[in-house]
Amino acid sequence: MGKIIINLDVMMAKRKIGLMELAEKINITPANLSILKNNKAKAVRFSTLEEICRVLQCKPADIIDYKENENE
Amino acid sequence: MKEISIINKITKIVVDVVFVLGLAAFFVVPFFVDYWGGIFSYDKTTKIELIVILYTSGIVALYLLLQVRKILKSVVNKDVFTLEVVSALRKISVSTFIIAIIYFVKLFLQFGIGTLIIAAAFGIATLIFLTIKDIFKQAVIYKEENDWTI
Repeated sequence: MGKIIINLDVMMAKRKIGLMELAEKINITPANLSILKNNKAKAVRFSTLEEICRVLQCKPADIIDYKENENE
Repeated sequence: MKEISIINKITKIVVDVVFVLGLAAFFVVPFFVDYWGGIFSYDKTTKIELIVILYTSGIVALYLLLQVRKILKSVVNKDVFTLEVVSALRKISVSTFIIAIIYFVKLFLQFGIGTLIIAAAFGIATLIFLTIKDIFKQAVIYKEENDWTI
């Protein structure tokens, strides 16, 4: 059983954009964006993903990764 | 939405008043049994047992009202779908079950149609509150999933 990893902070660093600025541009609260960035979110809406990709000029695969558990 | 909020606040006040009256009623139960016995004939040899039944069901009813107050408070705060409300509903169902049992026992002391109806009503209320508890539990799961969806 693996886990979805959100690499949003990596892409944000590459594009040199802060949390507050990105949250404002994609029209969600900084608190919600922080939940996503810290891998605490249970689900992501496609509309949110589209906005993130539009602002950060990237593909979903640049933000979302899948890793198998090391024990398996 | 504002109208619903006022109704909820009024309901909370009414429940609070009933709670206070219930507490006050504790002092008058023995006199109430004598007065009630004067109007409706009852077996005076069972007076002590009737007082015990009224006190025990009264304590459980006050506990039930406490849980109702908790639920109403969450409704007023617009945060209904929480595990605390689920827990309150479970406690309400346990309370109604206990009251049903108490009045079922009372049937053997002094059979009456009113007592039978109360026992049956609280028994049915137990089942209804257990179902509502399960509904709220599911709603909490859905809300949590929605809250954690970005």
